[in-house]
Amino acid sequence: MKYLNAVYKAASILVVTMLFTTTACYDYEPQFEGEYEDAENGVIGEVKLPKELVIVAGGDVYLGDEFGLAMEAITSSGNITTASINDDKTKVLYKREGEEVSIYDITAQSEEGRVSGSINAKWFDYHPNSETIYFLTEDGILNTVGPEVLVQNPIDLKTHLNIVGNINPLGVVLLPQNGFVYTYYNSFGFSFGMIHSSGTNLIESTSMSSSKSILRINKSASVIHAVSSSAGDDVTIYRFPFLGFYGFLNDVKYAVPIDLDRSYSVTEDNIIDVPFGEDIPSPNGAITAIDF
Amino acid sequence: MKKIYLSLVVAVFLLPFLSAGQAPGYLGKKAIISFSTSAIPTFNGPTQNNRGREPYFVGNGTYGVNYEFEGNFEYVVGRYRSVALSVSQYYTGAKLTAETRAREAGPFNDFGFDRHELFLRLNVKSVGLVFSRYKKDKGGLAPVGNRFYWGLKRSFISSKIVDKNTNYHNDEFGPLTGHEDLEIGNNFTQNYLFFGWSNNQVFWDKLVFKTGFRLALPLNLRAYSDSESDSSFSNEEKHRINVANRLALHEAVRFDIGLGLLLF
Repeated sequence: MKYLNAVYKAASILVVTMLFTTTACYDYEPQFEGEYEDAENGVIGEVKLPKELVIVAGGDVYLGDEFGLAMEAITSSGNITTASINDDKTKVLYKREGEEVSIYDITAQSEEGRVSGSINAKWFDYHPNSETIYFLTEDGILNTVGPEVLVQNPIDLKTHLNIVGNINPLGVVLLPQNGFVYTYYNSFGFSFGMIHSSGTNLIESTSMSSSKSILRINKSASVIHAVSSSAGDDVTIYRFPFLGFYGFLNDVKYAVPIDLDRSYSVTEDNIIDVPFGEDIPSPNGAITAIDF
Repeated sequence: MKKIYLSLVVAVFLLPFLSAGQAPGYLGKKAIISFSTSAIPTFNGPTQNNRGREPYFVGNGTYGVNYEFEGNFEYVVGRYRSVALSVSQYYTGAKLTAETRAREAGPFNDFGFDRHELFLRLNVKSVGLVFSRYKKDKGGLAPVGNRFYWGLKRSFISSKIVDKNTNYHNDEFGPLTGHEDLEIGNNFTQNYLFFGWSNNQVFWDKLVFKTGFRLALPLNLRAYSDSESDSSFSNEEKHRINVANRLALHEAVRFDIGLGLLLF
Protein backbone atom coordinates (compact mmCIF):
# COMPACT_ATOMS: atom_id res chain seq x y z
CA MET A 1 0.00 0.00 0.00
CA LYS A 2 2.74 2.37 0.91
CA TYR A 3 4.35 1.70 -2.45
CA LEU A 4 1.12 2.67 -4.17
CA ASN A 5 1.08 5.85 -2.11
CA ALA A 6 4.63 6.57 -3.19
CA VAL A 7 3.79 5.96 -6.84
CA TYR A 8 0.73 8.17 -6.64
CA LYS A 9 2.66 10.94 -5.06
CA ALA A 10 5.54 10.67 -7.48
CA ALA A 11 3.09 10.77 -10.38
CA SER A 12 1.45 13.86 -8.91
CA ILE A 13 4.78 15.60 -8.70
CA LEU A 14 5.60 14.62 -12.24
CA VAL A 15 2.28 15.82 -13.66
CA VAL A 16 2.40 19.11 -11.81
CA THR A 17 5.98 19.67 -12.91
CA MET A 18 5.12 18.97 -16.56
CA LEU A 19 2.14 21.27 -16.54
CA PHE A 20 4.07 23.93 -14.69
CA THR A 21 6.99 23.99 -17.09
CA THR A 22 4.74 24.24 -20.12
CA THR A 23 2.14 26.72 -18.96
CA ALA A 24 3.27 28.67 -15.92
CA CYS A 25 5.56 31.27 -17.45
CA TYR A 26 3.95 34.47 -18.65
CA ASP A 27 4.17 34.58 -22.42
CA TYR A 28 1.09 36.40 -23.65
CA GLU A 29 1.63 38.36 -26.88
CA PRO A 30 -0.92 41.17 -27.34
CA GLN A 31 -3.34 40.68 -30.21
CA PHE A 32 -4.59 44.27 -30.38
CA GLU A 33 -3.50 47.44 -28.63
CA GLY A 34 -1.49 45.87 -25.82
CA GLU A 35 -1.21 47.20 -22.30
CA TYR A 36 -3.43 50.07 -21.26
CA GLU A 37 -3.65 52.43 -18.30
CA ASP A 38 -5.90 55.43 -17.88
CA ALA A 39 -2.92 57.41 -16.64
CA GLU A 40 -1.28 57.02 -20.03
CA ASN A 41 -4.47 57.54 -21.99
CA GLY A 42 -3.71 60.79 -23.79
CA VAL A 43 -6.51 62.76 -25.31
CA ILE A 44 -5.75 60.83 -28.45
CA GLY A 45 -6.16 57.06 -27.87
CA GLU A 46 -3.42 54.95 -29.38
CA VAL A 47 -3.22 56.98 -32.59
CA LYS A 48 -0.29 59.36 -32.58
CA LEU A 49 -1.06 62.09 -35.10
CA PRO A 50 1.78 64.20 -36.51
CA LYS A 51 2.54 67.53 -34.89
CA GLU A 52 1.21 70.25 -37.17
CA LEU A 53 -0.15 73.09 -35.05
CA VAL A 54 2.19 75.44 -33.21
CA ILE A 55 1.21 78.07 -30.64
CA VAL A 56 3.11 80.29 -28.26
CA ALA A 57 1.56 80.42 -24.79
CA GLY A 58 3.00 81.81 -21.61
CA GLY A 59 6.25 82.56 -23.43
CA ASP A 60 6.87 79.01 -24.59
CA VAL A 61 6.25 77.14 -27.82
CA TYR A 62 3.75 74.25 -27.92
CA LEU A 63 3.25 71.67 -30.65
CA GLY A 64 -0.01 69.79 -31.14
CA ASP A 65 -1.80 67.75 -33.78
CA GLU A 66 -4.35 68.98 -36.30
CA PHE A 67 -7.09 68.66 -33.68
CA GLY A 68 -5.18 70.89 -31.32
CA LEU A 69 -4.69 67.94 -29.00
CA ALA A 70 -1.64 66.32 -27.39
CA MET A 71 0.00 69.72 -26.92
CA GLU A 72 3.62 69.42 -25.82
CA ALA A 73 5.99 72.22 -24.90
CA ILE A 74 9.21 72.28 -26.89
CA THR A 75 10.77 75.21 -25.02
CA SER A 76 10.97 76.21 -21.40
CA SER A 77 12.64 79.62 -21.44
CA GLY A 78 9.43 81.62 -21.14
CA ASN A 79 10.58 84.58 -23.26
CA ILE A 80 9.19 83.74 -26.69
CA THR A 81 6.32 85.61 -28.36
CA THR A 82 6.26 84.33 -31.96
CA ALA A 83 6.68 80.99 -33.71
CA SER A 84 6.14 79.66 -37.23
CA ILE A 85 6.00 76.17 -38.77
CA ASN A 86 6.87 75.15 -42.33
CA ASP A 87 4.37 73.62 -44.75
CA ASP A 88 6.05 70.20 -44.50
CA LYS A 89 5.55 70.29 -40.71
CA THR A 90 9.17 69.35 -40.13
CA LYS A 91 10.64 72.54 -38.70
CA VAL A 92 9.55 75.27 -36.28
CA LEU A 93 11.02 78.75 -35.93
CA TYR A 94 10.94 80.79 -32.75
CA LYS A 95 12.96 83.63 -31.30
CA ARG A 96 13.96 84.28 -27.75
CA GLU A 97 14.32 87.90 -26.81
CA GLY A 98 17.79 89.20 -27.65
CA GLU A 99 18.79 86.08 -29.59
CA GLU A 100 18.75 84.92 -33.19
CA VAL A 101 15.84 82.92 -34.56
CA SER A 102 16.06 79.26 -33.48
CA ILE A 103 15.28 76.33 -35.75
CA TYR A 104 13.59 73.32 -34.12
CA ASP A 105 13.57 69.93 -35.84
CA ILE A 106 10.23 68.23 -35.08
CA THR A 107 11.45 64.75 -35.98
CA ALA A 108 14.61 65.01 -33.91
CA GLN A 109 12.70 66.89 -31.17
CA SER A 110 15.59 69.28 -30.68
CA GLU A 111 16.99 72.63 -31.80
CA GLU A 112 19.26 72.23 -34.79
CA GLY A 113 20.63 75.74 -35.13
CA ARG A 114 20.10 79.46 -35.41
CA VAL A 115 19.34 81.75 -38.34
CA SER A 116 22.42 83.83 -38.87
CA GLY A 117 21.88 87.59 -38.80
CA SER A 118 18.36 87.39 -37.41
CA ILE A 119 18.95 88.94 -34.00
CA ASN A 120 16.92 92.01 -35.02
CA ALA A 121 14.15 90.06 -36.74
CA LYS A 122 10.62 91.16 -35.89
CA TRP A 123 8.94 88.61 -38.15
CA PHE A 124 10.06 85.27 -39.57
CA ASP A 125 8.60 82.26 -41.31
CA TYR A 126 9.33 79.60 -43.94
CA HIS A 127 8.91 79.99 -47.69
CA PRO A 128 6.32 77.55 -49.12
CA ASN A 129 9.26 75.35 -50.22
CA SER A 130 9.64 74.51 -46.49
CA GLU A 131 13.40 75.07 -46.72
CA THR A 132 14.04 78.80 -47.20
CA ILE A 133 13.71 80.91 -44.07
CA TYR A 134 12.89 84.59 -44.36
CA PHE A 135 12.86 87.26 -41.75
CA LEU A 136 12.02 90.96 -41.62
CA THR A 137 14.14 93.24 -39.47
CA GLU A 138 13.07 96.29 -37.51
CA ASP A 139 14.51 98.55 -40.20
CA GLY A 140 12.45 96.96 -42.98
CA ILE A 141 15.07 94.67 -44.51
CA LEU A 142 13.79 91.36 -45.86
CA ASN A 143 16.38 88.56 -45.65
CA THR A 144 16.31 84.92 -46.74
CA VAL A 145 18.44 82.01 -45.61
CA GLY A 146 18.52 78.79 -47.60
CA PRO A 147 17.69 78.15 -51.24
CA GLU A 148 17.35 81.47 -53.06
CA VAL A 149 13.81 82.47 -53.84
CA LEU A 150 14.01 86.22 -54.52
CA VAL A 151 15.68 88.25 -57.24
CA GLN A 152 17.66 90.01 -54.59
CA ASN A 153 18.71 89.07 -51.06
CA PRO A 154 18.41 91.05 -48.87
CA ILE A 155 15.72 93.49 -50.01
CA ASP A 156 15.08 96.85 -48.42
CA LEU A 157 11.31 96.96 -48.51
CA LYS A 158 11.30 100.65 -47.63
CA THR A 159 12.70 101.53 -51.05
CA HIS A 160 12.13 98.37 -53.03
CA LEU A 161 9.23 99.58 -55.13
CA ASN A 162 9.89 103.31 -55.06
CA ILE A 163 6.58 103.98 -53.41
CA VAL A 164 6.09 107.63 -52.50
CA GLY A 165 6.27 108.31 -48.80
CA ASN A 166 8.12 106.97 -45.83
CA ILE A 167 7.38 103.28 -45.87
CA ASN A 168 7.66 101.29 -42.68
CA PRO A 169 7.18 97.59 -43.50
CA LEU A 170 5.30 95.88 -40.71
CA GLY A 171 4.77 92.31 -41.87
CA VAL A 172 5.64 90.11 -44.83
CA VAL A 173 4.82 86.73 -46.28
CA LEU A 174 6.63 84.97 -49.10
CA LEU A 175 4.73 83.38 -51.93
CA PRO A 176 5.21 80.12 -53.81
CA GLN A 177 5.95 81.97 -57.03
CA ASN A 178 8.90 83.67 -55.38
CA GLY A 179 7.13 86.91 -54.86
CA PHE A 180 6.04 88.39 -51.58
CA VAL A 181 3.33 90.37 -49.91
CA TYR A 182 3.97 92.89 -47.22
CA THR A 183 2.02 95.40 -45.25
CA TYR A 184 3.30 98.89 -44.70
CA TYR A 185 2.68 101.99 -42.70
CA ASN A 186 3.16 105.29 -44.48
CA SER A 187 4.18 107.86 -41.98
CA PHE A 188 3.40 110.82 -44.24
CA GLY A 189 -0.16 109.94 -44.90
CA PHE A 190 -0.79 107.80 -41.86
CA SER A 191 -2.12 105.25 -44.31
CA PHE A 192 -1.91 101.52 -44.14
CA GLY A 193 -1.73 99.14 -47.05
CA MET A 194 -0.79 95.79 -48.42
CA ILE A 195 1.42 95.30 -51.46
CA HIS A 196 1.90 92.25 -53.65
CA SER A 197 5.10 92.27 -55.61
CA SER A 198 7.16 89.86 -57.65
CA GLY A 199 10.77 90.60 -58.19
CA THR A 200 10.83 94.35 -58.73
CA ASN A 201 7.29 94.49 -60.05
CA LEU A 202 4.34 95.80 -58.15
CA ILE A 203 1.46 93.47 -58.89
CA GLU A 204 -1.24 95.15 -56.88
CA SER A 205 -1.92 96.98 -53.67
CA THR A 206 -4.83 97.61 -51.37
CA SER A 207 -5.48 99.98 -48.51
CA MET A 208 -6.16 98.82 -44.97
CA SER A 209 -7.98 100.35 -42.07
CA SER A 210 -5.30 99.63 -39.51
CA SER A 211 -1.72 98.57 -39.28
CA LYS A 212 -1.27 94.82 -39.64
CA SER A 213 2.00 93.32 -38.56
CA ILE A 214 1.38 89.58 -38.90
CA LEU A 215 0.53 88.00 -42.22
CA ARG A 216 -0.27 84.32 -42.62
CA ILE A 217 -1.08 82.74 -45.96
CA ASN A 218 -2.59 79.29 -46.47
CA LYS A 219 -0.85 76.46 -48.26
CA SER A 220 -2.66 77.02 -51.57
CA ALA A 221 -1.92 80.76 -51.39
CA SER A 222 -5.56 81.73 -51.74
CA VAL A 223 -6.22 83.40 -48.40
CA ILE A 224 -4.26 85.85 -46.28
CA HIS A 225 -4.99 86.58 -42.66
CA ALA A 226 -3.77 89.94 -41.55
CA VAL A 227 -3.38 90.40 -37.83
CA SER A 228 -3.22 93.80 -36.28
CA SER A 229 -0.52 94.94 -33.95
CA SER A 230 -3.21 96.77 -31.97
CA ALA A 231 -5.05 94.94 -29.25
CA GLY A 232 -8.78 94.63 -29.83
CA ASP A 233 -8.57 94.65 -33.63
CA ASP A 234 -10.18 91.75 -35.43
CA VAL A 235 -8.27 89.56 -37.86
CA THR A 236 -8.93 90.61 -41.45
CA ILE A 237 -9.36 88.06 -44.22
CA TYR A 238 -8.15 88.83 -47.72
CA ARG A 239 -8.56 86.80 -50.86
CA PHE A 240 -5.39 86.26 -52.79
CA PRO A 241 -3.97 86.92 -55.35
CA PHE A 242 -6.23 89.88 -55.87
CA LEU A 243 -5.92 91.14 -52.30
CA GLY A 244 -9.66 91.48 -52.08
CA PHE A 245 -11.16 92.09 -48.67
CA TYR A 246 -13.31 89.12 -47.61
CA GLY A 247 -14.25 89.58 -44.00
CA PHE A 248 -13.25 89.56 -40.36
CA LEU A 249 -12.68 87.04 -37.66
CA ASN A 250 -14.34 88.76 -34.75
CA ASP A 251 -12.94 88.53 -31.23
CA VAL A 252 -9.90 86.76 -32.59
CA LYS A 253 -6.39 87.76 -31.62
CA TYR A 254 -4.38 85.59 -34.00
CA ALA A 255 -5.28 83.31 -36.86
CA VAL A 256 -3.85 81.18 -39.65
CA PRO A 257 -6.02 80.32 -42.67
CA ILE A 258 -6.82 76.91 -44.12
CA ASP A 259 -9.24 78.30 -46.70
CA LEU A 260 -11.64 81.22 -46.93
CA ASP A 261 -14.03 79.81 -44.35
CA ARG A 262 -11.77 77.75 -42.12
CA SER A 263 -8.87 78.66 -39.96
CA TYR A 264 -7.11 78.00 -36.72
CA SER A 265 -7.46 80.98 -34.44
CA VAL A 266 -7.01 82.23 -30.92
CA THR A 267 -9.88 84.07 -29.24
CA GLU A 268 -9.69 86.89 -26.75
CA ASP A 269 -10.21 84.27 -24.03
CA ASN A 270 -7.12 82.39 -25.20
CA ILE A 271 -9.20 79.52 -26.55
CA ILE A 272 -7.76 77.75 -29.58
CA ASP A 273 -10.54 77.52 -32.15
CA VAL A 274 -9.96 74.29 -34.04
CA PRO A 275 -11.85 73.78 -37.31
CA PHE A 276 -12.15 70.02 -36.67
CA GLY A 277 -13.25 68.93 -33.24
CA GLU A 278 -13.51 70.76 -29.96
CA ASP A 279 -12.03 74.11 -28.99
CA ILE A 280 -8.97 73.84 -26.80
CA PRO A 281 -8.05 76.07 -23.85
CA SER A 282 -4.57 77.49 -23.71
CA PRO A 283 -2.07 75.09 -22.15
CA ASN A 284 -0.33 77.96 -20.39
CA GLY A 285 -1.94 81.37 -20.12
CA ALA A 286 -1.98 84.06 -22.79
CA ILE A 287 -1.42 82.90 -26.36
CA THR A 288 0.65 85.21 -28.53
CA ALA A 289 1.05 83.26 -31.77
CA ILE A 290 -0.46 80.45 -33.80
CA ASP A 291 0.61 78.79 -37.03
CA PHE A 292 -0.37 75.69 -38.94
CA MET B 1 -21.37 45.18 21.96
CA LYS B 2 -19.60 44.46 18.69
CA LYS B 3 -16.40 43.74 20.56
CA ILE B 4 -18.20 41.21 22.76
CA TYR B 5 -19.59 39.36 19.75
CA LEU B 6 -16.21 39.37 18.05
CA SER B 7 -14.56 38.02 21.14
CA LEU B 8 -17.10 35.20 21.34
CA VAL B 9 -16.52 34.27 17.71
CA VAL B 10 -12.76 34.21 18.18
CA ALA B 11 -13.11 32.15 21.34
CA VAL B 12 -15.29 29.56 19.56
CA PHE B 13 -12.67 29.20 16.89
CA LEU B 14 -9.62 29.20 19.11
CA LEU B 15 -10.69 27.34 22.28
CA PRO B 16 -10.24 23.85 20.81
CA PHE B 17 -6.68 24.79 19.99
CA LEU B 18 -5.79 26.55 23.16
CA SER B 19 -6.87 23.65 25.39
CA ALA B 20 -3.65 21.92 26.36
CA GLY B 21 -3.25 18.12 26.30
CA GLN B 22 -0.16 15.90 26.28
CA ALA B 23 3.19 17.16 25.04
CA PRO B 24 2.70 18.09 21.42
CA GLY B 25 4.94 17.80 18.40
CA TYR B 26 6.32 15.03 16.23
CA LEU B 27 9.51 13.76 17.90
CA GLY B 28 9.53 17.06 19.72
CA LYS B 29 9.25 19.08 16.50
CA LYS B 30 6.46 21.58 16.86
CA ALA B 31 6.97 23.77 13.84
CA ILE B 32 6.91 22.97 10.18
CA ILE B 33 7.55 25.27 7.31
CA SER B 34 6.30 24.16 3.94
CA PHE B 35 5.94 25.16 0.36
CA SER B 36 3.16 23.84 -1.83
CA THR B 37 1.56 24.40 -5.16
CA SER B 38 -1.87 23.78 -6.51
CA ALA B 39 -3.19 23.68 -10.03
CA ILE B 40 -6.24 25.75 -10.93
CA PRO B 41 -7.95 24.55 -14.10
CA THR B 42 -9.73 27.32 -15.97
CA PHE B 43 -13.11 26.25 -17.26
CA ASN B 44 -14.83 29.55 -17.91
CA GLY B 45 -12.10 31.94 -18.91
CA PRO B 46 -8.45 32.24 -19.89
CA THR B 47 -5.27 31.82 -17.91
CA GLN B 48 -2.81 34.68 -17.69
CA ASN B 49 -1.38 33.36 -20.96
CA ASN B 50 -4.79 33.25 -22.63
CA ARG B 51 -5.06 29.49 -22.53
CA GLY B 52 -8.25 27.62 -21.81
CA ARG B 53 -11.58 26.81 -23.36
CA GLU B 54 -12.80 30.42 -23.36
CA PRO B 55 -9.83 32.52 -24.42
CA TYR B 56 -9.67 36.23 -25.24
CA PHE B 57 -10.24 36.23 -28.98
CA VAL B 58 -7.56 33.86 -30.36
CA GLY B 59 -6.42 31.51 -27.60
CA ASN B 60 -2.97 30.23 -26.86
CA GLY B 61 -3.75 26.56 -26.21
CA THR B 62 -6.83 24.49 -25.55
CA TYR B 63 -6.20 23.62 -21.92
CA GLY B 64 -5.42 26.16 -19.30
CA VAL B 65 -4.05 25.77 -15.81
CA ASN B 66 -3.07 28.45 -13.34
CA TYR B 67 -0.77 27.70 -10.44
CA GLU B 68 -0.89 28.95 -6.90
CA PHE B 69 2.25 28.88 -4.81
CA GLU B 70 1.87 28.88 -1.09
CA GLY B 71 4.22 29.21 1.84
CA ASN B 72 3.06 27.98 5.20
CA PHE B 73 4.34 28.16 8.73
CA GLU B 74 2.53 25.77 11.03
CA TYR B 75 2.94 25.57 14.76
CA VAL B 76 1.63 22.87 17.00
CA VAL B 77 -0.55 24.07 19.85
CA GLY B 78 -1.85 20.71 21.06
CA ARG B 79 -1.21 17.04 20.54
CA TYR B 80 -3.56 16.98 17.56
CA ARG B 81 -3.99 20.65 16.85
CA SER B 82 -2.02 23.34 15.10
CA VAL B 83 -2.28 26.86 13.84
CA ALA B 84 -0.66 28.06 10.66
CA LEU B 85 -0.01 31.28 8.83
CA SER B 86 -0.01 31.03 5.06
CA VAL B 87 0.88 33.35 2.21
CA SER B 88 0.22 32.54 -1.39
CA GLN B 89 0.14 33.97 -4.85
CA TYR B 90 -1.15 33.10 -8.26
CA TYR B 91 -1.89 34.73 -11.59
CA THR B 92 -4.90 34.24 -13.78
CA GLY B 93 -6.57 35.91 -16.73
CA ALA B 94 -10.00 37.44 -17.17
CA LYS B 95 -12.06 38.98 -19.92
CA LEU B 96 -14.08 42.13 -19.42
CA THR B 97 -16.21 44.34 -21.66
CA ALA B 98 -16.18 48.01 -20.73
CA GLU B 99 -18.01 50.94 -22.28
CA THR B 100 -17.35 54.65 -22.43
CA ARG B 101 -19.46 57.46 -23.79
CA ALA B 102 -18.35 58.19 -27.37
CA ARG B 103 -16.72 61.53 -28.09
CA GLU B 104 -17.82 61.64 -31.69
CA ALA B 105 -21.40 61.37 -32.96
CA GLY B 106 -22.26 58.34 -35.01
CA PRO B 107 -23.39 58.32 -38.63
CA PHE B 108 -26.93 59.25 -37.56
CA ASN B 109 -25.69 62.11 -35.38
CA ASP B 110 -26.28 59.96 -32.32
CA PHE B 111 -23.91 59.80 -29.36
CA GLY B 112 -23.48 56.22 -28.33
CA PHE B 113 -20.79 54.21 -26.59
CA ASP B 114 -17.34 53.05 -27.46
CA ARG B 115 -16.94 49.39 -26.57
CA HIS B 116 -13.71 47.96 -25.18
CA GLU B 117 -12.93 44.26 -25.03
CA LEU B 118 -10.30 43.88 -22.34
CA PHE B 119 -7.93 41.10 -21.35
CA LEU B 120 -6.89 41.34 -17.72
CA ARG B 121 -3.99 39.74 -15.91
CA LEU B 122 -4.94 39.24 -12.28
CA ASN B 123 -2.30 39.01 -9.58
CA VAL B 124 -3.80 37.41 -6.47
CA LYS B 125 -1.78 37.53 -3.26
CA SER B 126 -3.29 36.07 -0.12
CA VAL B 127 -2.66 35.70 3.54
CA GLY B 128 -4.51 33.18 5.64
CA LEU B 129 -4.93 31.76 9.07
CA VAL B 130 -5.34 28.00 9.22
CA PHE B 131 -6.59 25.87 12.10
CA SER B 132 -5.89 22.16 11.83
CA ARG B 133 -7.04 19.10 13.71
CA TYR B 134 -5.09 15.90 13.12
CA LYS B 135 -6.69 12.50 13.19
CA LYS B 136 -5.69 10.29 16.02
CA ASP B 137 -6.04 7.04 14.11
CA LYS B 138 -3.28 5.69 11.88
CA GLY B 139 -0.67 7.32 14.07
CA GLY B 140 -1.51 10.90 13.34
CA LEU B 141 0.23 13.42 15.52
CA ALA B 142 0.47 17.13 14.80
CA PRO B 143 2.08 18.19 12.53
CA VAL B 144 2.17 14.92 10.58
CA GLY B 145 -0.62 12.61 9.56
CA ASN B 146 -4.09 13.20 8.20
CA ARG B 147 -5.76 16.36 9.20
CA PHE B 148 -8.93 18.36 8.74
CA TYR B 149 -8.47 22.11 8.61
CA TRP B 150 -10.35 25.32 8.14
CA GLY B 151 -9.48 28.94 8.09
CA LEU B 152 -9.88 32.45 6.79
CA LYS B 153 -8.05 33.88 3.82
CA ARG B 154 -7.79 37.42 2.58
CA SER B 155 -6.79 37.95 -1.04
CA PHE B 156 -5.29 41.19 -2.35
CA ILE B 157 -6.09 41.39 -6.02
CA SER B 158 -4.49 43.68 -8.57
CA SER B 159 -5.57 43.62 -12.17
CA LYS B 160 -3.77 44.96 -15.18
CA ILE B 161 -5.17 45.49 -18.66
CA VAL B 162 -2.68 43.69 -20.91
CA ASP B 163 -4.71 43.90 -24.11
CA LYS B 164 -7.54 46.06 -25.38
CA ASN B 165 -9.67 46.02 -28.48
CA THR B 166 -11.74 49.17 -28.84
CA ASN B 167 -14.68 49.48 -31.22
CA TYR B 168 -15.53 53.13 -31.61
CA HIS B 169 -19.07 54.34 -32.05
CA ASN B 170 -17.77 56.57 -34.84
CA ASP B 171 -15.46 54.41 -36.94
CA GLU B 172 -13.92 57.34 -38.81
CA PHE B 173 -13.12 59.94 -36.17
CA GLY B 174 -13.27 57.86 -33.02
CA PRO B 175 -9.78 56.40 -33.44
CA LEU B 176 -8.44 59.89 -34.05
CA THR B 177 -9.94 61.59 -31.04
CA GLY B 178 -9.58 58.61 -28.71
CA HIS B 179 -11.90 57.53 -25.93
CA GLU B 180 -12.73 58.51 -22.38
CA ASP B 181 -10.85 56.92 -19.50
CA LEU B 182 -12.13 53.48 -18.59
CA GLU B 183 -11.95 54.29 -14.86
CA ILE B 184 -11.30 50.71 -13.86
CA GLY B 185 -9.59 50.45 -10.49
CA ASN B 186 -6.64 48.17 -10.08
CA ASN B 187 -6.70 46.89 -6.52
CA PHE B 188 -9.28 45.40 -4.21
CA THR B 189 -9.65 42.53 -1.71
CA GLN B 190 -11.71 39.39 -1.30
CA ASN B 191 -12.17 37.25 1.81
CA TYR B 192 -12.74 33.51 1.87
CA LEU B 193 -13.67 30.83 4.35
CA PHE B 194 -12.11 27.48 3.50
CA PHE B 195 -12.22 23.86 4.64
CA GLY B 196 -9.89 21.10 3.63
CA TRP B 197 -8.30 17.77 4.18
CA SER B 198 -4.63 16.93 3.79
CA ASN B 199 -2.02 14.35 4.53
CA ASN B 200 1.43 15.25 5.86
CA GLN B 201 3.82 12.33 5.63
CA VAL B 202 7.42 12.23 6.73
CA PHE B 203 9.39 10.57 3.96
CA TRP B 204 12.97 11.36 4.89
CA ASP B 205 14.34 12.60 8.15
CA LYS B 206 12.66 15.99 8.64
CA LEU B 207 11.16 16.29 5.19
CA VAL B 208 7.40 16.08 4.94
CA PHE B 209 5.41 15.38 1.83
CA LYS B 210 2.03 17.11 1.75
CA THR B 211 -1.04 16.48 -0.39
CA GLY B 212 -4.57 17.59 0.04
CA PHE B 213 -7.61 19.42 -1.20
CA ARG B 214 -9.80 22.19 0.04
CA LEU B 215 -13.05 23.99 -0.62
CA ALA B 216 -13.46 27.74 -0.25
CA LEU B 217 -16.39 30.10 -0.13
CA PRO B 218 -16.19 33.85 -0.67
CA LEU B 219 -17.46 35.95 2.19
CA ASN B 220 -18.68 38.57 -0.26
CA LEU B 221 -21.95 37.14 -1.44
CA ARG B 222 -22.18 39.78 -4.13
CA ALA B 223 -19.61 37.75 -5.99
CA TYR B 224 -22.40 35.38 -6.88
CA SER B 225 -25.44 37.61 -6.83
CA ASP B 226 -24.72 40.32 -9.40
CA SER B 227 -24.24 40.07 -13.11
CA GLU B 228 -21.68 42.21 -14.86
CA SER B 229 -23.96 42.47 -17.86
CA ASP B 230 -26.22 44.88 -15.95
CA SER B 231 -25.86 48.11 -17.91
CA SER B 232 -26.48 50.25 -14.85
CA PHE B 233 -23.10 49.26 -13.41
CA SER B 234 -20.02 51.40 -13.95
CA ASN B 235 -16.95 49.88 -15.55
CA GLU B 236 -15.36 49.56 -12.13
CA GLU B 237 -18.38 47.74 -10.71
CA LYS B 238 -18.42 45.39 -13.67
CA HIS B 239 -14.73 44.80 -13.16
CA ARG B 240 -15.15 43.89 -9.51
CA ILE B 241 -18.10 41.60 -10.13
CA ASN B 242 -16.28 39.88 -12.98
CA VAL B 243 -13.12 39.33 -10.97
CA ALA B 244 -14.95 38.31 -7.81
CA ASN B 245 -16.98 35.71 -9.73
CA ARG B 246 -13.91 34.43 -11.48
CA LEU B 247 -11.81 34.07 -8.38
CA ALA B 248 -14.65 32.47 -6.46
CA LEU B 249 -14.58 29.62 -8.97
CA HIS B 250 -10.79 29.47 -8.78
CA GLU B 251 -10.94 29.12 -5.02
CA ALA B 252 -13.90 26.77 -4.92
CA VAL B 253 -12.01 23.46 -5.17
CA ARG B 254 -8.27 23.08 -4.95
CA PHE B 255 -5.84 20.16 -4.89
CA ASP B 256 -2.39 20.88 -3.64
CA ILE B 257 0.95 19.20 -3.26
CA GLY B 258 4.05 20.32 -1.44
CA LEU B 259 7.06 19.77 0.73
CA GLY B 260 7.65 20.71 4.33
CA LEU B 261 10.54 20.83 6.73
CA LEU B 262 10.16 20.03 10.38
CA LEU B 263 11.82 22.67 12.49
CA PHE B 264 12.27 23.14 16.18
